[in-house]
Parts: sequence; C-alpha cells; structure tokens
Amino acid sequence: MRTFARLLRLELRLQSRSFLYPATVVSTAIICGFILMLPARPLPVRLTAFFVFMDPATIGLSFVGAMVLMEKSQGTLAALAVASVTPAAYVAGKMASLTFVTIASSLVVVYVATDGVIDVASQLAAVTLCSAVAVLIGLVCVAHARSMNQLVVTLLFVTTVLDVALLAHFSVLPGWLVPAVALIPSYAMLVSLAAAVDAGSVSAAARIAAALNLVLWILIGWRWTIREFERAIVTERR
Amino acid sequence: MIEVENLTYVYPGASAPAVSDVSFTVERGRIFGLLGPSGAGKSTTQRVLTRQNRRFRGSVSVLSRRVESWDHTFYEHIGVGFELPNHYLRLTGRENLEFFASLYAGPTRAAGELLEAVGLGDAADERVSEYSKGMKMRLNFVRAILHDPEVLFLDEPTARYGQRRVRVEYVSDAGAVKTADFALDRLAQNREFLELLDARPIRSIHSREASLNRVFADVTGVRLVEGAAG
Repeated sequence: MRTFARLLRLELRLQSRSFLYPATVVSTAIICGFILMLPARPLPVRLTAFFVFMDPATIGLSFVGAMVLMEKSQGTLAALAVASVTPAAYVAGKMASLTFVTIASSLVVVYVATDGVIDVASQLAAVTLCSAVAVLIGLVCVAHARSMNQLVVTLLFVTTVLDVALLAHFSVLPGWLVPAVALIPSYAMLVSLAAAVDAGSVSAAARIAAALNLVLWILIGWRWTIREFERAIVTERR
Repeated sequence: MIEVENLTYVYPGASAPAVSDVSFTVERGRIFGLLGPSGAGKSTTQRVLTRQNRRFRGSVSVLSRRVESWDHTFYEHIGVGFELPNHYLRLTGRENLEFFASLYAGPTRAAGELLEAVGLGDAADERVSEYSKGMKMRLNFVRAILHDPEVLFLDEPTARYGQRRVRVEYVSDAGAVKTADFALDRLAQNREFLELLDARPIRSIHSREASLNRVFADVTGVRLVEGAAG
C-alpha cells in the first residue's frame, strides 16, 4: 500500500510535468464546446454517453500508451524493478492516477450535456469501471510496443474493434448481431455510462450485465497486464 | 555472499544460451569484476544475480540464499547500477533520488548529501533532462547506493571513463616483467587484455594515477576502507 501511494504521487507529478492536465482541459473544453453547439438541450442520453465514452477511450488508451512508452525508452521500468516495485503496484498506480483525470473530465462533460442534472455517485461508479478497463487495454497494447509507430498501429486496430460497439449503441447494427458485440468491453462501457446519465434509459438487467462484463474485463485485463509487464518489460529482456 | 554454480541462461526464443555453465564465488568484502568480450553474457549474468532474469538453470545464491527464494525484499539488500542512465527526465536529480528512496522500507541516505558527494550538488534541482551523460551516470550510481546495500552490482562502471588507460604489468614467457596499456572503458571487451589475464601471471594493474582501488573510487565516488578490496 505504501509503495502504491508513492507511485501514485509520482504518477501525478509526472503527468503534471508531461502536460497531461492542460491537454485534458483542452480536450474536455473542445468536447464541451461541441456539445454546446448542438441544438438539442439537454443532450439525448445515448449521445451524452458517447461523449463521456470518448474520455476514457482517449485518456485510457492513448495517454497511458504514450506515457509508458516514454518510460520504457528512458529505462525507468528496470530501475523500478530493482527497487522492490512489483508490476501490480505499478499498474495500480497508473490506473488510479488516470482514473482521477477521467472522472474529473467526465463530470464536466456530463454536467454540460445534461444542463447540470447529474447523479454524481452513478457517474463515479460508471466512469471508474470504464477508465479501469481502458487503462488496462492501453497497458496491454504498450507492453510489447517498441516504438511509437508500433503503438499507434496497435491502438488503431484496438480502437477500431472497440468502436464497433458504437454501431450497436446507436442502433445501427441488426438486432441479431448485438449479443456478439455486447461481449466487447466498449459496449458495456456505453451501457454503463448511459445508465449513469439516466437510470431509466437502461433496464436493470442490462445495467447489471454491463457492470459484470466490465468487472470481468478488469479481472482478465489485470491478470493479462501483470503477466505482460513481467514478461516483456521487467524480466527476460536482453 | 555470492555463489554461482553451472549457471546457464537462454533468452526466450534464442537458439544458443547467452550464458553457458558459468560458476564462480564472491566472498563478502571483495570487489569482483566480470570481464569478457561483447556478447559474452556479463550483463545477463548480472541480471540473473539481481533477479531480473529468472528462467535460468543451475544454482545461484546471493547473500547466502538462492535467488529464487528471495521475494521483493531482496532489493532492500542489494543495489543495482545500470550500464545506461535510466532516470525520470522530467524530474530533478533530487526528486529522482527522493522518489526511489521512498520505495525502500529501511533507512536511506539523504539525497542532497549523496548528490554533493558526486559533484551534483549544484545541479540537484535541475531536471535530469538537462544533465550530461556523465552527470546521469553519477546519478545512476548514487541511486544504487541510496539504501546502503550489502551488495552492489554495477554494469560497465568504467564506461564513462572514455579513453583513460590502465597499465598492466605481467610476466612474459622469458620471465621478464612487461607492460601493456589498455583503454579503461574497453577492458571488458578487449580480447588481448582478456587473453593476457588468462595466460599470464599478472603482477599489477594500474591506472595512470594509482591502483585499481583508486580507479574504483574515482568511478564510484566511494573511498574503500584499506583492505576491503580484493
């Protein structure tokens, strides 16, 4: 726990010096500006969920990927490995720090999109689950990436797969395909975020199924990420 | 202190071992140098000794305990200096040391004191991205000794010494004492030097100024207690 707290503090400091917070403010402001230009007020639930979804997807996947790649190039992961830092503490530090950023950003987006009607507790729960999944996916992507080019190609592929869920979210896909798409974590993210904006927009069963789906992906992603980091970064490299 | 028996290490996917059937022992208080040409497996051996590479064959003990039986507390007892600088470039030298010091459960030395000791006192609050390579290597070294480790592993510690040379005195076949000069930063890669070590009784190895102890002290900033070095 002590190591986790130290790593979290380090992450916040590094993120601050890497201009993550100004970048987040700018990206959130752009999204809010776009929302304010839309004629519908307040925004429809699905559209609000879509805009909030863009935050975990962007911060979780891209930012964590870029930050870890920078740490890999600086060799600091090896230094952490010989200073008693376990991959679990490292991953937990990344998840927690980026989730803070995502929560703050998403609350602003929802506040603007819903004209101030916001269920903070539901929003916190949904965004925390979504952010955790997105960060873990980003960490798995970056674990084997040796260059920014390789990371970008991997992220392009992964985000394309994740974005398929948007077709189901906006009812573009035929109904028989939706159960298959529902296995993709991004579908559960969108359902959870929509339910957090308006509980009545999603059935209780769908809401529980989405939450369980995300928890399952977090468990799988956690094990997978730890394994990848132990194999690809901390140990057994030349 | 360190016992290695029949160590063999093959990197995943590699056809040939990086280290093959290596055995040696290092007693407490000794300075032990692992020399060999590039690709000989020196760094790999150190990575096995420091538990960074774990899928080895053979028996490896550090501090009288097999490395596979150690948990993360192992790193409370050892210090590792890397071949290349690896710091958080956006943090200052002091912030880097304070962060790593905070990861240890036991007492650590004051960052400012260590930075002063290696001539980085004035640059303590500058970002490491502004440091020269030599400054980063000195920071690497003090990070390794932050927690007063019982065993210190240094990878290529003389690398930053550029073209400075050491003079080796050896006994020739005819029994005469001869000398040869070698670049200090290339010792471990220099086949001629390694063959000399293999084949001849070495009388002494000197840097231009003084003994190897002095060289070690110059490289690391640590002044050895008389008699502590091997």
